[in-house]
Amino acid sequence: MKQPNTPPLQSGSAARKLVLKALLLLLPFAGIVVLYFHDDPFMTLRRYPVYDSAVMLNEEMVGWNIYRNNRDSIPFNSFILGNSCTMAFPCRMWEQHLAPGDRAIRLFGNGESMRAIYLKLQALERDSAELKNVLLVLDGTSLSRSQVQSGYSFLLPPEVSGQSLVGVQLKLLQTFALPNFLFAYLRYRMTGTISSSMKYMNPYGRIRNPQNNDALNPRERLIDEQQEAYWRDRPKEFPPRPEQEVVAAPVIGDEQAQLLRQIAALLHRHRTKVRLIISPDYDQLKLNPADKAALDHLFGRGVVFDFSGINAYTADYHNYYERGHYRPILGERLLQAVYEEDEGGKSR
Amino acid sequence: MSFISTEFACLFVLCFAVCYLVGQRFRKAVLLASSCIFIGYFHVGFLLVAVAVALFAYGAGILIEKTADRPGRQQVAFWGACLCLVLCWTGFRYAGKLTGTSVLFPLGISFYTFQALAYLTEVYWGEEKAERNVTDFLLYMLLFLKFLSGPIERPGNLLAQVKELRPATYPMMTYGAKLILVGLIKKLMIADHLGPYIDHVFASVHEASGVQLLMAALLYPVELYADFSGYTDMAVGGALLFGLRLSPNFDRPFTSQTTAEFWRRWHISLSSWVRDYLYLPLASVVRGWGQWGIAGSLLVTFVALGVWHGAGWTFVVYGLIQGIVIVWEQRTAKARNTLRDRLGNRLFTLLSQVRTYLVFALSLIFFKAQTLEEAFYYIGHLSFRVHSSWKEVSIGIPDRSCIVAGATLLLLLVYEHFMARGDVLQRLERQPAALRWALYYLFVFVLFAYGKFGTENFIYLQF
Repeated sequence: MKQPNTPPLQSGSAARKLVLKALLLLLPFAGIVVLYFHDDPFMTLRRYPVYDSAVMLNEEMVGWNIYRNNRDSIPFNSFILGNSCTMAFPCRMWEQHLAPGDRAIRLFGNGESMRAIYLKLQALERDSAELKNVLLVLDGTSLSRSQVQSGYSFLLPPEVSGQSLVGVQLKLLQTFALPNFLFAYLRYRMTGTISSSMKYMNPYGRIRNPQNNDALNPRERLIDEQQEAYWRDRPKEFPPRPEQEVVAAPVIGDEQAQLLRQIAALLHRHRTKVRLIISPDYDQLKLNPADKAALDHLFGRGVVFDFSGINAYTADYHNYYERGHYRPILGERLLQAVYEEDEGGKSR
Repeated sequence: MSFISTEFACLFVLCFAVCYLVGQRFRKAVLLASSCIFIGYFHVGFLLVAVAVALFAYGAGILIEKTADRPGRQQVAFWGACLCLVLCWTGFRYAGKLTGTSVLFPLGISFYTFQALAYLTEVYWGEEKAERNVTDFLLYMLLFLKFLSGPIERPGNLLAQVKELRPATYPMMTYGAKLILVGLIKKLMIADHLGPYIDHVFASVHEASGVQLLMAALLYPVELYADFSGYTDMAVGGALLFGLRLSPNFDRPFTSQTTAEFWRRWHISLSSWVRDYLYLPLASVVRGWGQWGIAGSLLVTFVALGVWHGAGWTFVVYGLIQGIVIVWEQRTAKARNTLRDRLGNRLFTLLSQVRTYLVFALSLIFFKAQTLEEAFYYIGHLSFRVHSSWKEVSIGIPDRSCIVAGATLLLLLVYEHFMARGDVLQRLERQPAALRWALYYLFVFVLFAYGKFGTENFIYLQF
């Protein structure tokens, strides 16, 4: 840097001037921080009896907070883990296939990774939760994810991830400051309305059960109202499917196998009854047989149920909300298939 | 305590405030105390080692100067002191490898050892007087802004400034603050958006597809540059707030047309150190060997530069590649000039820049790989092949990170282009206040919203 020609200020006054200007620069950001702490838009700063909001909340944190809210009054011993397709498995429905008195809760994450599942199981173990039953709902993408993804919707609660509370809040605050989020939020705050362009906002109101985090999917109401037109009028959400079955490339590498081994070991330690469902995705992409074999090897036979590919479960498009998610009516059939043998055994 | 941690921000603000409250008399003491807190915060052992090395160099400098009238003794004092410093440094560097145990590697030791060696050499050559004020010398050695990853300061620059420590002028302070912002943008909006995904590919070389290996290798120089030059900008900017001008460490390295030029622009404080204290003395010793002497000196120098980074054959090969390419460039200068005439200056310049970048990217595979076998496997499997889809090209970097890092990189290239034609930050000072403040708000907001916080590590901390 060349020496500037401007006359130097006395050091003390130069420092004061710099500090004053820095404060002026930071003033708007202080406003954002104050608003964030006042409004708690992601419902992570304080405890709430009901976790529903006009903001799209982080499901990882919501699930964990619902668990914390209810763990003393409801003896949870059964856990639904996996990605957002767990919405097809309401806890009440699953509990019917479990022993009387078993109580379930859904601890899922959008675009869930295997690492997040493992961290949650470790957190439950630390919390001395009884891990009697675990239902893992996965697909090829989840299986391939050995790391927790970046982004606010994938952030895990500090008690689960071991990250510092400050670090997690800093990331949420940063999301809050994103123009996409902040401007939509401020508009909602001023007008009280949510438009379809507000990406991070939830226009549906109440969407989850405050006791077990079951999804209350607003699309079910739409299907009731629109009937066949629901699927007919959404060609982009239901594109044509391949006539011949396509097999996906293997996704379980060394890192994924190591994580799965750790998950299996933890569950084995607790003598947990595990059922692993590979989702019947709308795209009918078949899980690679090598991955299925790896899962069988790690979890044992009769634990992993692969419903992917072209089959009786994926054939009917009425089973889907859109290409990424299927409905509880299909979830119920899957659970029947999964527990058929056990229940047959019981009756025998 | 990393530069981008809350602890550091608190220490920095506190040190700045106290420095300007206590006045001139105690300013050095405050800076030295802050430096000791900074180093000791990592581990008290690091502070003890750093102080011991600094005091040793301080005493050795005086001894070398005192024995100046007896050359034999002076030589023994100088070489003995250098040997002790090098042994201490290599001891910490290799102890873990040799004994198979985990030995604490003091942070910053490679940097301050080289700084001490530079000081002793300057005193031995009679270029500098031995420092008698222990506070000044300790501050020169331990100053927290350059302690972890340099720049490696020469006594002629930093020690002289420390002795005459003057408070920063207002323009110096604002310039420093802007440099800190530039550094933060480089680190948080480029390096940290790319880093985890590049690391992941290098950590799973055997599972990655050819195209993933290729992309990670091509992106790693960008990450390394953004990380290290970002750190340097913060160090230089921070020092300016205290009235100290640290040496520059980077000068648009990716515009280099040759690897030799690249090393005049990349990690300048280290490359000029090895040039002045290793290459030139070596080359003068073997000058009778002609071209072979120069080539040999170059190879030895660059192998030493590689080994400075760490214990292991990978760093030897990393340095060797640089040396071999520079020797090759020297031998083919005529042929390349002929090619320049044929292709035209513009095309030749572009191709040369691309070639230099690719050579550096290739050599960095050895720099980053854990073993030679892994590095050779990596190179052997570089290709455009995918495992299942072309999406693998992104090496898992989310679209948002791609956009943020890509746009920032573009902005950085534009900034550096204009920096080469005159100091952009100083020109900004001459713009209307409204424009300046709009830009400050914009950049701080963009950093706040799109910077990737949470990673406190810098790549060069490990050295």
